[in-house]
Amino acid sequence: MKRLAADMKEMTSSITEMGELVADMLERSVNSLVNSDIQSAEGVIKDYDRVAHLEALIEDEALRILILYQPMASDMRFTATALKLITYLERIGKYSKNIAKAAVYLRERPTTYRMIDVYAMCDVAVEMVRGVISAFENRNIKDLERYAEMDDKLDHYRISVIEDNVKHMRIDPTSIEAYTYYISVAKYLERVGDNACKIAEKVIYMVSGKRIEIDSAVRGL
Amino acid sequence: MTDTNVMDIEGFNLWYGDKQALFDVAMNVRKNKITALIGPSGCGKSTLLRCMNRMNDIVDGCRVQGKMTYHGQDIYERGTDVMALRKRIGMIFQKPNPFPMSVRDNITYGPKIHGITKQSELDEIVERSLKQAVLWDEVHDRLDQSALSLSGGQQQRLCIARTLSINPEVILMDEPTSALDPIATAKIEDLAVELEKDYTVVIVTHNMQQAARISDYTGFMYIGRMIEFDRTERIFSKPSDELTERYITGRFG
Ligand SMILES: Nc1ncnc2c1ncn2[C@@H]1O[C@H](COP(=O)(O)OP(=O)(O)O)[C@@H](O)[C@H]1O
Ligand SMILES: [Mg+2]
Repeated sequence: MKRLAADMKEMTSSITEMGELVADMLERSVNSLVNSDIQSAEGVIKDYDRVAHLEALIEDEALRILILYQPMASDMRFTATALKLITYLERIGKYSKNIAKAAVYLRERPTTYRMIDVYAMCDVAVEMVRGVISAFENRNIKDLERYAEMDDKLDHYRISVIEDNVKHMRIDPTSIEAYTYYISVAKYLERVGDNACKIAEKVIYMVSGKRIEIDSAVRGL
Repeated sequence: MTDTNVMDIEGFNLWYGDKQALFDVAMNVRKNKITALIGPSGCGKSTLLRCMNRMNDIVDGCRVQGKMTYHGQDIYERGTDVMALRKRIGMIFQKPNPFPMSVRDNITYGPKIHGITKQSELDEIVERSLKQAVLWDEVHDRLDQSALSLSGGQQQRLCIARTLSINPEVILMDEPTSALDPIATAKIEDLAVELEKDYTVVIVTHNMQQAARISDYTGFMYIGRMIEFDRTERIFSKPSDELTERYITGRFG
């Protein structure tokens, strides 16, 4: 079916666009936090609307494919994966928006906490999101093997962010609220990793038909 | 858990004259399950189905070779009681083919041939068969009308009721809904799923969605060969064979 193939190709590029957008938002949100860049943070908050819009658009398109073609086998796996992916990508967009909101809040409340680990988490999380999008686009799952490991890394960084901020709270109790924001940001970044792992699982299913679980030793901490 | 096999087919070949139509076919029919046969037209689905109750016997020059057993008994063995076999393994065809007689007589025809004469017993069979075929509510007040006055979908369910009247174990269906509209089709599909509790169904269909909807096992055939036989979910989500994948995703030829 030529039309189905063409529609699937278009859906692949829409999802890739959505994925690149959220990866970009994620990166910008953490940068805006580190650099206290309100303008950039507000840009991310606004971009979330585009994410929600793309999600709705792609969902409609996927449902249309299901109704029109009743896809089977690899086509079915592609369409089912697409429907799941956009949900995970929307969440990553939402976390980026939350981080940008934290940046806006924290700009007025400077603290002595230096965001080294937050920055490191952002690097890992962005790499994971870009990686799954490219795996989806190219139907190449080779690089997804490292995801459990990367997810563990995020968990460890998050614990260290919590510990550092608890220390700061003791020394500087007047800024307790600000420190809880950093802890939240670390939580968002860790959740981004979880969602990237979920996407990786779905892409592996789409390509190979196998259902695997990307397990993390310290998941759930 | 493995399901019990009602029929086992292995290394099965068939020729129409000197033209071979089935090649080394292997599959089995599981008890109380629906098994679907799919594949492009002319691939041998009907031929294989007709072998299962020896309907091909009446085709001139038709010759078979290989294993086809029903409860372990080779059905092509010399001395097989073909009438008895067909009593246990009934067939529903693409076009509803009720006899040109009353609804009631369509149902009692088989039981009478098999020696049942008592009226009360025949009445019971009529009611039970029509209820099982989910037709009773629609025809109970016109049992003496001609079967040909029923709609196409009703006629097909009558044919199913007629098959059920002689207590078969296996029901073979050859594209039973291809002459029906979507609503009548849905009724037959529901009926097939309902029948699965008490019977074993083998259905040939060119409608892949239908196979996916109702069957437990699916066999994909291509030019006389059984390319892949597996659980239905497997066939439609991740077939093992490239040919199956291409056929069910519509990328054939
Ligand atoms: N009675 C027959 N005599 C000769 N050839 C036949 C007969 N029935 C079917 N065939 C041939 O056997 C092949 C399989 O046909 P069939 O079983 O009807 O396929 P399907 O049901 O998959 O469409 C076809 O090539 C068909 O022409
Ligand atoms: Mg046929």
